[in-house]
Amino acid sequence: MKLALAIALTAAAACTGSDPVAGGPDAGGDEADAQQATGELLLGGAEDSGTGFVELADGADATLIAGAQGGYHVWTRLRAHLMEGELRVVYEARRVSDGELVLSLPVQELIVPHEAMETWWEQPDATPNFMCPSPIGIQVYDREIEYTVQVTTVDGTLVGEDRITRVPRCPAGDEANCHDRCSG
Amino acid sequence: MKNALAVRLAALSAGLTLTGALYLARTPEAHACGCFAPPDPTVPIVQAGEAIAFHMDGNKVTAHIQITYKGKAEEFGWLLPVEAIPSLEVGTDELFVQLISTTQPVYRLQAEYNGNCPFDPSRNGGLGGGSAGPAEDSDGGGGGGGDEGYDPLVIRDSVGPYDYAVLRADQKQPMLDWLDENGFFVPAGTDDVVDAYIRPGAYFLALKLLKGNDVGDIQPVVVQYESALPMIPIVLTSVAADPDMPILVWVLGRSRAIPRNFYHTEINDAELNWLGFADNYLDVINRAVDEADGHHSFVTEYAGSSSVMQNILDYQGRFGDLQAMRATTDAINYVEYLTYNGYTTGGNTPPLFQPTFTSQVLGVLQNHLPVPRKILKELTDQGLNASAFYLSYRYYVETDAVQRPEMYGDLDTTFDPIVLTQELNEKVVIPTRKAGEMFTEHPYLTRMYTTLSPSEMNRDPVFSFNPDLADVANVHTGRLIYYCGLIPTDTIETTPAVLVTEDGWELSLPHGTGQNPWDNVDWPNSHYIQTVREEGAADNVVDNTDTILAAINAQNDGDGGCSVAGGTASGLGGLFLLGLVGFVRRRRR
Repeated sequence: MKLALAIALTAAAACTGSDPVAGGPDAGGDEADAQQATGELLLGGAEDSGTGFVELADGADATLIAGAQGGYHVWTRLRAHLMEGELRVVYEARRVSDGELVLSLPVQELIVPHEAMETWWEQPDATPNFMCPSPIGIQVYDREIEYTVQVTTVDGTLVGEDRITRVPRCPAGDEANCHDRCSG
Repeated sequence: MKNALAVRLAALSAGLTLTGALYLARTPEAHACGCFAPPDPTVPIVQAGEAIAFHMDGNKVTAHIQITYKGKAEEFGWLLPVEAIPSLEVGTDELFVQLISTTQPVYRLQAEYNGNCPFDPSRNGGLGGGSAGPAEDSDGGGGGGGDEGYDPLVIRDSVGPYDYAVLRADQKQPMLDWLDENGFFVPAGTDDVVDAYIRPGAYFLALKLLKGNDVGDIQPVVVQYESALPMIPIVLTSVAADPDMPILVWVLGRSRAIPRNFYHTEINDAELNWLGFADNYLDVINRAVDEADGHHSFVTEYAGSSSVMQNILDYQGRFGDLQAMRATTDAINYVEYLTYNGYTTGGNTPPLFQPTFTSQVLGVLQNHLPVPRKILKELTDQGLNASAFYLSYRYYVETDAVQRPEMYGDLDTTFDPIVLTQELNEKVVIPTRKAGEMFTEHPYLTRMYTTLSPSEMNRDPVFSFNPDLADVANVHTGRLIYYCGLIPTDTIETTPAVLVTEDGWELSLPHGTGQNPWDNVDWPNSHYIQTVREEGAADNVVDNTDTILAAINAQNDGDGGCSVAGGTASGLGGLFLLGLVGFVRRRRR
């Protein structure tokens, strides 16, 4: 079942910029948002095991992966082009229906090798985008969630951005626990 | 299930008790400025609980976990679910001593005098010499069965006093069996609650004390593991937790930390015993968080710059010159060097405001320069510990041992300074410096507190960040306004007064501070119960403002005061009130 889903996701077209949701990064007027990205970024997923790169289509399902500490996440993985060096990544996720922020991860470091200036470079490890326990009152499973990623230089200059809408789904056989932790 | 009863289960994440020591100011003292400030804000209320300091670096969470365990050494055990193979180091108790001290909530009253108050410290004597208006305002302060051949073991190693193992968490029974077979204590009930953490690719970190180590050797552990956000696996703790177990959390980051999946509570500060420097604080918090749905709520006790902790643990020159220590062969000189070079703590912190050797230093010294057995018993009988011996080592060795040789039959001052210095470096110097570095690397510090009973431990609290939230001071100041009239006939305890809490609630004390009518008011203990997101302001799910206001009005009316809407105490200050006018005002928040 998971394999079928992964195949379906792999076959899907790559994401392109969708309309920002209410309150999303583009609505906030952040300095980075006002800039034109100089590089290219592709926000993809990974197999349920966290391996591989899965190109995603807007609105595709995303399996909520159970974590070691009882939470659930969805995998994301980046491909980058026309950028290099020590960069910063900011992940954010909002519920499409109301713009509610469901995830704002602390800024992470991203070291991109020079080869990304010439060809697409793929992030070696997938990033768990923490979903559950979700914030109080915010259900995240079976809801459209827009995931946004921005890559900036250390001083905040935007070098790449991508966003995609996915629908987190609780894994088969684990619905009760997943619903409990992901319903807010 | 075979080990549910047959095996004497210990404390894993649970059976261990982690201590959160909370200190509250209690002792009043009148200062010339008209303030009551706690000279010794350290009358501590120590309870078993969990004390954890988190910081995040990218996708790695580092957790400093203070372990306090009461029981037999062989029954000490600890279990932590982690996403990936963790790294483990020893930490330092001093981190928690200093964190608790620096960020502890303090409630104090600033006295103001209306009329001719003979007890006004600024009064020069004689009628009319008292201050007629309020003293200087305060802004509230700031503070500052598994498969055949399946082996769950991934790593078995030791660090400090601990024997630890990293075990695969993809199958429960082999993991529990391994713990059982290898002498890791597992508390009863773990079998059931551990289910939620059994995941492919996940791990458990299990700890026990190495043979030869005692409970006194337990020191904090520093665990670093991959995780998107910090979380406390409190569900595991439920199997061996006490009712209303305190949980004290510090989170370092770039901005204020929030409880992502717990409510947030702002207490009704009128319920605090301001006249006793909030000595009922823990009870108020306990009741307030219980008013939230599921009893799942945290109170933020401090949120602000982490600079309050900078240069406390790792100040310049601390720990002296290790090379000089290695060359010091005289025990007295060596111990005194430790005393004068920062191996003690507490000289500027509660509870005693005098230096003491940290438990880690004592543990090392005891191995190399042990306290004579009879002396240690004598100190213990006096309520002291080995620290007193080492702090006066020269006296004990050169004088007392000569005067009372019968007490020192096992005194041994021979030691290897190279080995001792190496051990101090590993167990004290390096962990303390690393702990200190957290506060320069992460600019913002948040302290949160709650209590949970075992039945409430059905949700693991997760913490994230919200850069939009304001700072929270740990020092809170209320006002106590005395109304003395023209002719002073009352003592300070019988003089009518109004107590204005920091939140602006005005509580009349018509018979003076000696008779507090506010002890048993029926009102909520929480002012606001909120949801706090990762952006924006907190949303009030419950707003008890009107209920509290009504209760105050009723109390004031019933106790001879009268409710007057609007106005402030300072606005009435010049009237030289002969009787008390009680009124209620709510400060806009």
